Amino acid sequence: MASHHPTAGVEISVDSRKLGVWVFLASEVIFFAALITSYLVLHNRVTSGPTAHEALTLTIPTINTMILLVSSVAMVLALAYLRDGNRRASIAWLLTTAWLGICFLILKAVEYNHHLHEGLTPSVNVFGSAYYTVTGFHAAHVAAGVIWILSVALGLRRRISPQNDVLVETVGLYWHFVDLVWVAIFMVVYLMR
Amino acid sequence: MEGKAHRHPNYVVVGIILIVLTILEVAVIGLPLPQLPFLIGFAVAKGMLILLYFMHLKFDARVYAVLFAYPWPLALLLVGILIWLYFGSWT
Repeated sequence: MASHHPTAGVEISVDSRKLGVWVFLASEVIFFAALITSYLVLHNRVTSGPTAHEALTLTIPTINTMILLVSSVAMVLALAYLRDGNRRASIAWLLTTAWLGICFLILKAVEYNHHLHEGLTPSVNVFGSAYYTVTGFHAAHVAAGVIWILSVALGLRRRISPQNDVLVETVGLYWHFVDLVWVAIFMVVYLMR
Repeated sequence: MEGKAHRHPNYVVVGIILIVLTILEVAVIGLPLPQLPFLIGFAVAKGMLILLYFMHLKFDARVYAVLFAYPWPLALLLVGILIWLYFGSWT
């Protein structure tokens, strides 16, 4: 894989699709800031039922963190290979990213199932409501990302070329942002419990 | 907006650094230290690596970084207001 960036030494144009994704991500910052702050102020106000310290464990969330970080590497490699003209490797890395996203969702479902059996439901107390809201919205973003990545990798694979790499770049920006949000959730929800 | 010539960062190395930071983040939980500064430090470092290298803000047109930075003061204001509303003071 050649290591030079395709824009090396040339003028960088501002692509409207990429600009649109950045504006969308900027709005998502406010959305997740509100959710995470709500969790911060609510999770300690438990009068009955399980608390964060009792209910949450670190094993699955730590594995899920690793999965998302590795998926981000896979995503950025997909873009790098596409820019170097290796379409097949790019699609393979996109499918790897989607598969890792699915693994994240499966482990999240296992974690939710464990919580529900332990009595931590969304309605049991204010911690339960805040916990499922924050992590549920994030998981929904991961699911949307997986669908978007698969549509780029499979449905649009004939249109993807080094000249049209913005399709992969925009889905990559979204995916890395989902990873970024998980970094914050992992710290606030699981490590600061 | 002039782009600077640059090479791909080694994305695998960035990924390994992120994983090492995550391991340190989890390890610090068991240590008899004030944990909050370490946790925030590790999370900010991980976030910056993702933004700068994976999302290419270090190399891309500055307008994207400005756009993304724009809501952060509003987000911090929101955090402050919510904390103030719930706890009635800043402490």
